[in-house]
Order: sequence, then C-alpha cells, then structure tokens
Amino acid sequence: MAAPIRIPDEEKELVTLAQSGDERGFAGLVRLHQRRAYAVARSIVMTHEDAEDAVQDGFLRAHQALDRFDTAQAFGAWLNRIVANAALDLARRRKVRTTQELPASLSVPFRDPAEDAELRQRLVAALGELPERARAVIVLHDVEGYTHVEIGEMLDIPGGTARSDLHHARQRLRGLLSNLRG
Amino acid sequence: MDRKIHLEPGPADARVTQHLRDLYSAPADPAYWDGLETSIMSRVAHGAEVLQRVPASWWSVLERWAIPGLAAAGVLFALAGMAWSRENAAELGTAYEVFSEPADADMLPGAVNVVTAQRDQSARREAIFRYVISH
Repeated sequence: MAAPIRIPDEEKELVTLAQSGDERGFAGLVRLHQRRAYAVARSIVMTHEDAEDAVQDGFLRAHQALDRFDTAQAFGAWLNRIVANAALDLARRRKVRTTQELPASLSVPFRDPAEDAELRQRLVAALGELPERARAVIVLHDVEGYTHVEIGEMLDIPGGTARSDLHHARQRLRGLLSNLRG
Repeated sequence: MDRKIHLEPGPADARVTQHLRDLYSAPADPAYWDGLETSIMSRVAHGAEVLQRVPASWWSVLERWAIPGLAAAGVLFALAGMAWSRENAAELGTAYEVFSEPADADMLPGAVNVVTAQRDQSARREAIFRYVISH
C-alpha cells in the first residue's frame, strides 16, 4: 500500500486561500514552488527564456484549474506536471522551427577539447538531439540531483521508467559526444 | 587518443557535468526569483482578466445571449399571437358583416326582405364528425 502523501500545513493553507480566490494564497504557492518548477521547465526546453515562459504558462494553467485541484494531492507534484506539459508544448513548437539548424551545428568538427566554448557548443547540440523527456531526466538527475522517484512524479511517469529513460539518455548522449578527442 | 565521456554518477566527466550545470542551473540571485514571482502574478492577473473578457469558445457568446434571446423570442411569439388573433377576429367580423348585411338588391324598392330561420348547426357538425371518424 502506498504511503499517504504528507502535505505541509503551510502549503495546505495557501492552497485553501488560493482556492477561495485570495491572490495572496496563490502568490505564496508561487514563492514556494517556482524554483522547482523552473528546474522542471529548464530541463525540457533549450533556453532560459523558454523555461521562464513555460513556468509562467504553467502557473497560469494551474491558476485556471485550481478549482479542480484535489487537496489530498501534493500541490508541487500537480504543478510540476502542468509545468512539464507547458514546457513540452513549447519545446515541440520550437523544435519545428529549429530542426534545420541543429544538424548544421553538429557537423562542425571538434578540434580542441580544451576549448570549453566548443565543448559547450557540442553539448548543447547533442542535448538538442535528445528527445525532451530524455533531456529532462538527465538534467533533473545529473544537474538538479533529483531521484528517479521525484523525476517520475514531476514528469508523470513511473520511477522505474525515469531510471530506464536516464540510462538510455546517457547512452544516447555518450554516442553523440563519442568522437571527442583529447 | 579517444576520450570517452562518462555520464555515470560515479566517474562522471567533470567538464561535461560542469557545462551541464552552467547551462541548466537555476539562477541563484534572490532578486531574480522576486522578479519571476511578480511576472507570474502579473500574468495570472492578466490571464484572469482575459478569461473574463474573452469567451473560452465561440459558442459561449451564444450562451451569454441565450436568456435575452429566449425572452425576446417569447415577447415576439406573444405579439405574433395577439396580432394573429386580432386579424382572425377582424376577418371573422368582416365575413359576418358580408353575410349578415343585406345585399344591394335587397335594398331595391319593392324587394321583400326575407328573414330565414336560423338553422341548428349542431346536427350538421355531428354528421361531419361521424363521417370523419368512420373513414
């Protein structure tokens, strides 16, 4: 049997306040969850600006759906799924526009691994080649330090799927960066 | 020499991980988060305004006009009914006058104004009714 979710009292009060229409409640929820929401969005989209957009869009969608939110759930997990969906929507829209640009940047031969700028460029291009979910699990795990279970909650997938996605994403990234010479 | 990039948690390539962190880490400046919170709340407030102004779907415009539309249709229906009823009454009146007023020929000097006895219509109506239900 799954353990009951422990929701902090502060979050419960803020949710109740926000659901009653008091904007101070929602502002409190924003303050409490915006960093994690940003991490989720940033792991999916390619730029900081897109992550900001996805976070704002996600909070707006959450605000509009607040009356349908079940208070027995953790607000953060619910919000992160909404933000992840907003980020995925944005990433897909951007992908349509940038599909032609990515192979060009990948075809640039890697000359000097000591040059961080070039490594960075290759890494950005390789990450751009990964599917959104694969990129998200790598960033959330290796950069933000979230566990498979937490990543699963954020992306609305089982923890085991997050673990296997991470394994495949690393393999893929390793393949894309395998011709680095030092 | 080929240099393998390891992204496993143990022997992770420090440079790649560092670049990943540089690329993806959330801003550390508290002022940034205050600004983002303000932007989010402003977008939420604007979104709420837009929601109030703009209907969620095109048919919700019709939904807004449903009650006034039904009321107007009711009034029109009542007016049409009254007009029809008046017209009908006027027509009946005219028909009655046509049949009940004496013809010009009857006004000729020497003409005899024949007054006929009113027939009982109920027997005729009953005959028609029987005819209708038996066929």
